[in-house]
Amino acid sequence: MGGFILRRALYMIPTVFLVSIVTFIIIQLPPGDYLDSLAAEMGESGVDNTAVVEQLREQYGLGQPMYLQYWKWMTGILLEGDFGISFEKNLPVTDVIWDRLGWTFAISLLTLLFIWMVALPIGIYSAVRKYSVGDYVATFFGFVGLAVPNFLLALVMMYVAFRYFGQSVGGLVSPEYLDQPWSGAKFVDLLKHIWMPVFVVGTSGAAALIRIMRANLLDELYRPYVVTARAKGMSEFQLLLRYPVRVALNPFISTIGWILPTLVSGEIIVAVVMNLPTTGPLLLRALLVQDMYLAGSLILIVSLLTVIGTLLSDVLLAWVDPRIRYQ
Amino acid sequence: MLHSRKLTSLASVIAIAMAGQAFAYEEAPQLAQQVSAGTLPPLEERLPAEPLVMDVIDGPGEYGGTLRRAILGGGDQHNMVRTIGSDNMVRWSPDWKEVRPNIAKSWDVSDDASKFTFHLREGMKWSDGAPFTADDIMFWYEDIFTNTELTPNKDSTFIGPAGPVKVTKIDDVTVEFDFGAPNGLFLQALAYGFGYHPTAYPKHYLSQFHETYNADIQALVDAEPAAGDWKQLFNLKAGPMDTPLFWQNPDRPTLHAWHLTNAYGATDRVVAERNPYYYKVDSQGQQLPYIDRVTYDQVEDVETILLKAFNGEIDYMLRHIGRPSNKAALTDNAERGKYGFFDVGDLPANIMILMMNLNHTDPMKRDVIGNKDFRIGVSHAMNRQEVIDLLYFGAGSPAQTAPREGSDLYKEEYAKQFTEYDTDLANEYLDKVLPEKDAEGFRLGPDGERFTLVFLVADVFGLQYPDAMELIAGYARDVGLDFQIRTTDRSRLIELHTSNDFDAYLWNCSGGQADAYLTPICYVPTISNSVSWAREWAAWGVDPSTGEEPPQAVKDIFATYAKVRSAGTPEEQKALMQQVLDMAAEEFFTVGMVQNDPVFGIARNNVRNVPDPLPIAGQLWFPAPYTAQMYFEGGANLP
Amino acid sequence: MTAIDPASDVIVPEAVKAPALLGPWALMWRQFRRHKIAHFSLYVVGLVYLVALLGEFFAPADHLATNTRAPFAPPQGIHLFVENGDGSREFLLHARALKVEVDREAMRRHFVEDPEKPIPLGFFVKGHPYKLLWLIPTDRHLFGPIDPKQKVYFLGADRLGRDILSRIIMGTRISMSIGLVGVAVSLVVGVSLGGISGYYGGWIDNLIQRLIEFLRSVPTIPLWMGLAAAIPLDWPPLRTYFVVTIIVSMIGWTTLAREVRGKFLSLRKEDFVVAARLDGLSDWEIIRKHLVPSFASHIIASLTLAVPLMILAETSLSFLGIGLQPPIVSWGTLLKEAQNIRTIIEAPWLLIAPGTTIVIVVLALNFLGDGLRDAADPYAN
Repeated sequence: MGGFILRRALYMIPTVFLVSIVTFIIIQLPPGDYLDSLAAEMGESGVDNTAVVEQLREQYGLGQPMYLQYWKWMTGILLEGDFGISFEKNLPVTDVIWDRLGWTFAISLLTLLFIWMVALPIGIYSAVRKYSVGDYVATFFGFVGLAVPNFLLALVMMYVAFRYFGQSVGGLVSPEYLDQPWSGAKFVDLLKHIWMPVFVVGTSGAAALIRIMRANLLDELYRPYVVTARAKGMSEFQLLLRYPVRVALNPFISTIGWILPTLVSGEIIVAVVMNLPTTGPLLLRALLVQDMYLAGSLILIVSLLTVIGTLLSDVLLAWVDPRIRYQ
Repeated sequence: MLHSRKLTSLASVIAIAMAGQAFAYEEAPQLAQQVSAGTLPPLEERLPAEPLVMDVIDGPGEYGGTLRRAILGGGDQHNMVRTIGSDNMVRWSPDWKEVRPNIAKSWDVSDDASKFTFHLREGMKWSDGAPFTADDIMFWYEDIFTNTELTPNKDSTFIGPAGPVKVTKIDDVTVEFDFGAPNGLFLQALAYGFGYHPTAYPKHYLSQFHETYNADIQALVDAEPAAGDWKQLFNLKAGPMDTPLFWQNPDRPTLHAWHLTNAYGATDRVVAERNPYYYKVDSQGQQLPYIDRVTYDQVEDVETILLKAFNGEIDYMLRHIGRPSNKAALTDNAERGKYGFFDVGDLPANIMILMMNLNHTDPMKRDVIGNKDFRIGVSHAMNRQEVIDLLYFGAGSPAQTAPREGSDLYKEEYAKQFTEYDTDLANEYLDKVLPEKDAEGFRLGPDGERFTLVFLVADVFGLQYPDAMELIAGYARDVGLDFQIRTTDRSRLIELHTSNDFDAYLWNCSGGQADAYLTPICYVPTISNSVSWAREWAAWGVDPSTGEEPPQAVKDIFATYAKVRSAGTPEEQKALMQQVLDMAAEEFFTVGMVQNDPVFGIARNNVRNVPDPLPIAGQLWFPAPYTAQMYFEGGANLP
Repeated sequence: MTAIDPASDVIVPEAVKAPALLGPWALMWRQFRRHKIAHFSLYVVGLVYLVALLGEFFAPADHLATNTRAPFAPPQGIHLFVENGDGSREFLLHARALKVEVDREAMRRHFVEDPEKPIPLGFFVKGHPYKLLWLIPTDRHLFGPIDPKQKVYFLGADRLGRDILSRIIMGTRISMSIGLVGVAVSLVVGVSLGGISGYYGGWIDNLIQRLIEFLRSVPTIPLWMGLAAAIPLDWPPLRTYFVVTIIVSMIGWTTLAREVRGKFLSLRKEDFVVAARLDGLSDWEIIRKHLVPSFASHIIASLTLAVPLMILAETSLSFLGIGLQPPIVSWGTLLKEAQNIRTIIEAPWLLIAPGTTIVIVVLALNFLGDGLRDAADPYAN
């Protein structure tokens, strides 16, 4: 087991290294740089302000060759934990992202919980009562969840909340709590808002997991060992939970790692529509204006966490199912 | 020889100011508390000896309330610039007709309009209480403006026909701006947005970040992770107002009515609190601003701003929401949000212009586009009224790029030439240039290949350009022209046209009203971030050793516009400007489509002293000089 | 099993004749038909692809034609009877002309159906000319106003007065083909890399697994955004479309590759593979003749399930403004155009119509894939 973990951990290093390089290339792919974006914004005054743009070009160390910028960025991260400067915010990236990463993880975790709470029972029911009305209903709603684009759902829900519940829209708290310190009332207000993004991001994930659970359980339900157990007079419910469900749970564990980037990606769009203080809008904006260290660092951190998540789920899987260790 | 030529309105303003001193000044209750608690000096010590008495719009107001707005998560600094930022030495009157005193209480102009002497207000203070004097202006001039490291390229406001301005301190409250040659448009330029420079750099605060004043600057550089050398540090602390930098440093004292306390981008809300040292009072002696604070809630999407407006969470706003397409939805929710509409005179020379590249790098395309008959043909092919009806609900009129009706420079023929929709006429003109057609009916270029123009288009200004471009390409197809559409984002489009790497694009153009004098960017070839239709000529116009020599007619335009800039009196300026416009109309550089009707903004029902109509323009950063006199009836926001 | 249609079992003689000789495909088909919704979905998907193929024929109007009189015109109903002057009712398939009232202050048009002005409708009517299947010039359309000068908006009109039904129909071609092409790319890449990985194992397996792991650990949206932003501007829209397709297909192949690898891993030790190898068959022949057929049904099921993912991915790209650009119409661009408060309030049909279309098609594809997956293992029960 120790060797297995070590081996898997070592694999991580080249992967993360590769991710960092590809990330850096991707964010540099679009032509132009941050100053072009800034010039475009300032262009709204209709006059020439190249004066200001030239003044700032030096400010951001743009114009150096790409490998040099990468080298500076990487060594900064590895040696000093310095992820560089956000051009647009003029702050170190580390000052900008942690708050937002926190919210992203909070929402992702809640979403994960939501997905499991919904998907597990429905998936089991769906498999046990295959082709029953309940199965069809569950399947139908599951697929509808898969089929509705996130951003559409987000906008419609926001409009409904505004129109029929008179709720202040966008953000995680109402405007009156924005500047306030944390309190009971603010927390309640938070709960009033946070369920919406969790629901929106979670629907497609839950729908997918229902399908997986159902399929896996179906594979197991007709295995000889189940038949044997049933023949021995074990109660159906106990039987179900003790064996097939446990085996069918494997994919849940193995998806922990993958689910994070999926949630982060899904969350980007939803967060833009719902105006959430998460990494999504920050990343989108950073990519749009080529605030490259900010964008690069966000992608890198999320990727890194994914790789760690994958490692964790692999270890968990190996622990649950010893066969995997020796593959 | 200086000859004092004071404006008549100036005299009256001073007269009111004198009258104002007859009774005691009043301040906001919030500030009075601080004074009695001893944390703030009394009002008399905070106000200058002669405060500016504002001519408020409806009447004197009452204190209290928060002006709530929304701001996009990034790139939206003009949101603040135009509400609380722009407050210069001099300002435009609310109707954009004349220049009035602002930070400067008066000025003298030399006979030839080359020297401008400004008289500041004695005892005026920065927002932190430090005195504001001529030394601050000299700090800007000597240590920033003329420092080639900090200012490699100088702002055109402070460059006259004979070169950059020379600023001299006469005494603590008097400075002289000397251009060495007539520069009759300087006061106008100073009143526009970019005239903010001389009064935006508090020496007592910024000198610590300047090499000249701080021998130990390196220590500060080392402490700041975002700076690598002192220049970067200085830019961080003293960034230009139209970049995010200015709004990310709440420590920098200003002369604005509200002072930043929560920086842009740091949290979910930008907050600016009342500046207790603000130098304006109303006719009853109440210190402005009336409203306690201004907040900008950060949102990621324009749609959220709309919903906030419907919910009554926006007190005063026109930016992002004042578009024809939003009018119906905003009208529907006006009762719920408790707001009403006011008119916004955002009236550029044209809101939709086919900017075709007269200096194309491909000689074949350049010849075709450069042929006036081709442009006339294209112009007659456009069904402008349909575009207006479909996209803007009929709120506009077919027009070329020209001064607007109602402005001093308006002439009907500028606006209306070649705007008639007539495909036969269009074909007649185009047949003179591109007579041959291919099997599909598209015209062939001189090289025998199909003549294609690629139009860049970005979804900007809420004007539905991509939709418009589809219509335009359709009209072009009807007369055998192949216009290809490439939709892109704003920054990429600007990058392409400023590097002269384009066939054509769709954009708007300022210069529809008084700003024609200072931003004639569609009448005179100019290097600009927004407009490129003859970049090489423009470069030649700045420096004949660069760019490309234009034809004689364009050289004449350059020469005449140079005369406009040096003319001393408004009458001369107007006569010469009219000549420039005559020549530009004859050259017919760009094909304009639409001049819009006024747009709108929303204000909650108890917001008073709202300028209506409110003129705005690319350089006219309104309502900023007039936000301080807005107030909430009842002294608080509507619930 | 009540789910079996009794008639089909009786009538089809083969089924009676030799059930024991049924090949795997026939078995699969029999199993598939028991999943009624999946069976039904098969027809829906077939119909959708037919619409994609013969788009112009199904579209009642030119999907690019604007109309100054109809911005945000609401959906018009189809009526069966007209009332004559004497009060008698007469059968006439028709829609009712729209009366427009303009509210200049609020910048809005009000539309009212005018029962006095019926617009007769018919099948196989004349309309705008087009080329059927890009070959046959014609101007016949399946359904629409009999007088080609009249305009009827069955699902309403957009902000430029363009017919939404026609736009959805024309968008079907783009959206459905993105799904197909994307899946084709995924199939080729996924099966080859997954197969190599699973069959050979060892360092190649390791390498490919790391590649997959790497691709999956980069969040997709930034990846797409970077790639899409790098598409040169001067590319014609069609080429952009293919690049978008390839970008979208990048999400599909990793999953497929993992599944294929898993199958290979489990199958390569099976007796029939060992036997084939002992028979002297080359690796390639073993893969082609024995391994691929044994899990082809699984692949088909996975592919069917990948198509809707790609359709949705395209809508996400369009939402971010980095997907397809006008004048190309896809379901994604239609949704993107309707993605604003103004539309929800003033013209909800712009959101509902393409939204429902997407949901129905994605549902059908998912049910189809689900049924295929269930059927792929004919011996399960």
